[in-house]
Amino acid sequence: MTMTLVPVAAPYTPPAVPLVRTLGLEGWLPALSALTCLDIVLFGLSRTSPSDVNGLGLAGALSPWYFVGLGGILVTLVAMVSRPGGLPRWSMVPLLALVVALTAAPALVEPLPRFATAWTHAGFAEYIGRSGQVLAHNDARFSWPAFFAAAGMFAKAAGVAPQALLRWTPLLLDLLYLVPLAVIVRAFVSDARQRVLALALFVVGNWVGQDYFAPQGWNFLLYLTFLAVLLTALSGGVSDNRLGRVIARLLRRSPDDELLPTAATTPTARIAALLALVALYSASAVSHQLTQFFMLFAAAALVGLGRCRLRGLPILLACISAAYILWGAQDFWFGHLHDLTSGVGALGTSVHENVTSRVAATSTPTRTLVLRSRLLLTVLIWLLAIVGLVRSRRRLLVVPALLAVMPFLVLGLQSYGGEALLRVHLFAMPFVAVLASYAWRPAEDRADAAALRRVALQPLIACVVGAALLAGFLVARYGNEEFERMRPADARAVSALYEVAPRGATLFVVAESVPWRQRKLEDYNYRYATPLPLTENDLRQVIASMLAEKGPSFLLATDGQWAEMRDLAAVTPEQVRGAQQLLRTTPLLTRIYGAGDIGVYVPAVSRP
Amino acid sequence: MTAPVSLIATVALAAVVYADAPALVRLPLALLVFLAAPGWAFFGRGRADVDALVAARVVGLSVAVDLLVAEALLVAGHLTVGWFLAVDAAVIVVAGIGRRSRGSRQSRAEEVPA
Repeated sequence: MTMTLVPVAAPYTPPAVPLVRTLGLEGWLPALSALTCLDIVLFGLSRTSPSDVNGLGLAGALSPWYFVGLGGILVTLVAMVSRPGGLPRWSMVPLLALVVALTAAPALVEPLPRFATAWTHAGFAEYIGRSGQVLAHNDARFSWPAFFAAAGMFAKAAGVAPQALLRWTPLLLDLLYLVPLAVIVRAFVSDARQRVLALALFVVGNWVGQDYFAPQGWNFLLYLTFLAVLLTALSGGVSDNRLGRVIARLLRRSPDDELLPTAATTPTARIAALLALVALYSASAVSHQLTQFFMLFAAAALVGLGRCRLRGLPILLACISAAYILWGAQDFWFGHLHDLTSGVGALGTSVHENVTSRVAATSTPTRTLVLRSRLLLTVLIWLLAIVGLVRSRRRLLVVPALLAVMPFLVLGLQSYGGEALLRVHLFAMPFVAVLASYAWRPAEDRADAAALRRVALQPLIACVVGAALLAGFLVARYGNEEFERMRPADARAVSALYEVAPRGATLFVVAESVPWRQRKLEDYNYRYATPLPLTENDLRQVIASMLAEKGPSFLLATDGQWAEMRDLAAVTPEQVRGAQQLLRTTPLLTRIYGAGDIGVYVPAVSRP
Repeated sequence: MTAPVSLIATVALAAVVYADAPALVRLPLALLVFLAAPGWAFFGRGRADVDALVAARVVGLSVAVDLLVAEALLVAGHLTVGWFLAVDAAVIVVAGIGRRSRGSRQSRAEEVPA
């Protein structure tokens, strides 16, 4: 009898499966993680007090929990886009959590909606909604009244005062921007993870805060939709003209990357798309003076590159603008023609007003830090875009590169009160974000060892760069919160002023940051006290202006205004304290309401 | 069925405004009408077809229509919420008719052999 040794197979051990996969949670993990982190963010905001706002603005007051939650959202996003393969289920949740965490912070912390200009716009909407008319000579913005009229109608239909719309407008707009932006990004980026990254970069790079209750915020939505339609429905495909070929040759490496889809394949669909473009442009032309030109430049750039089939489109758009400016905005340009045209070609002056004078006009180190953080954040994002362009060198990227540069043409037309560069950054940002996303290399499904090594450090670098961008965003966007937030005591002073001031009176303020003009717009004349009442001599001049008015006049000084003077008007804290002391003690004025540094004053001397 | 739904929403808003219903009822309906109804009537394709381009056109076009209608009524001297909703409803009806005829032209084109 012989015995045969039969080899016994080792007992089967199934490969270890992570618990999240066993429970079927893998696809949900980023969404669950983001929502948990958003909870921590909201907890952090509930422990943040507006009274802690300091020279760094809201960023200086935020609870550490806020930063823990925000860091968690960043890590979730980076982990999600670092995975090989496609995106998990509900992949937009981390992105939406990022938007809520960044945009809703002031709405959840501050007792009143922020930003004095938004209050003024609510007043415009309230007036038009109530009277059905514009106050043509009250303010230049009434020459482009469509936004205020529509907002007034919306408030009436919704049964609320326009003021009630201020608080959540930024969050609503920032969420709405993502919709057309997703279409724009899809036209240039094929990888879904990179697309999410591009959207996130836009959210973090959009620090300029033009999403408040204002025509430009809604017009930016029109701009994005305009480009989404233009880049998809009416795209011309390959760059088939000489300019397009010359620019493309500078960057060309892979000729096989024509992503721009042509959605409108039938003539009827193309006509529908053209009508949509005309409607979007016309709506912009009647509601905001500047956005239409960004649309026009973008359309001209696409036609120039051979990326738009409608070669006559820029001419048609220019005709719409000219027609409205000549007819609808007559009140504005009549008598202001020199102001309008003096900026044309004055690029140096425009840059000086937009950059140099802004940085130079600061008096405190924290203020300087806020302004420098804005420049640094902007430079960092543009640098990422350049890195993306250089790393990719795809022929297709000629289009976003040119669209990112086109907004700079506006600097040659108008300095826009020193704000044109902010708008340029905003309107370039969608394309800068697209280019910056190419700085990232998505991990491949079946990558070899060398390819894996190349992307191994990417998540770590992305977390570091992302943290720097988020920190920069918070300081850049909310760095003005000392004077952009509206204080309840200031709002009470305004209410008291409206109680005592008779119809026809003239109301003076020392600075802009005050929640006024939100009602009774037509009943008063509104003025800024010039010069700033820093010395007794200055104050005498202000009082002389008050006495020169026809009816009674009042001077309103509030904490928000003092903060603005300190931060924005290049006035030292000592000078502000001197001015406050002067107003409290001067025999030339009588305080009829207020305490401390808040007051409603009337001249104590009578008219000569 | 997108234009009829938009029209029903607009008429419902007009009814609750006329009845002076509380803001809790009016606000969501107003958001739907102002941010979606006109654009949906022009470009919505029905339930399952909500891709980003359609959504972008719906929101963007709705805002554009709101602004243009408000401007037109302002110029005409009839800017009231009643007029606004009536014109909005008219725009939706026109969009619906346009979509129907566009749809039938498209189906006729598809029937023609290549």
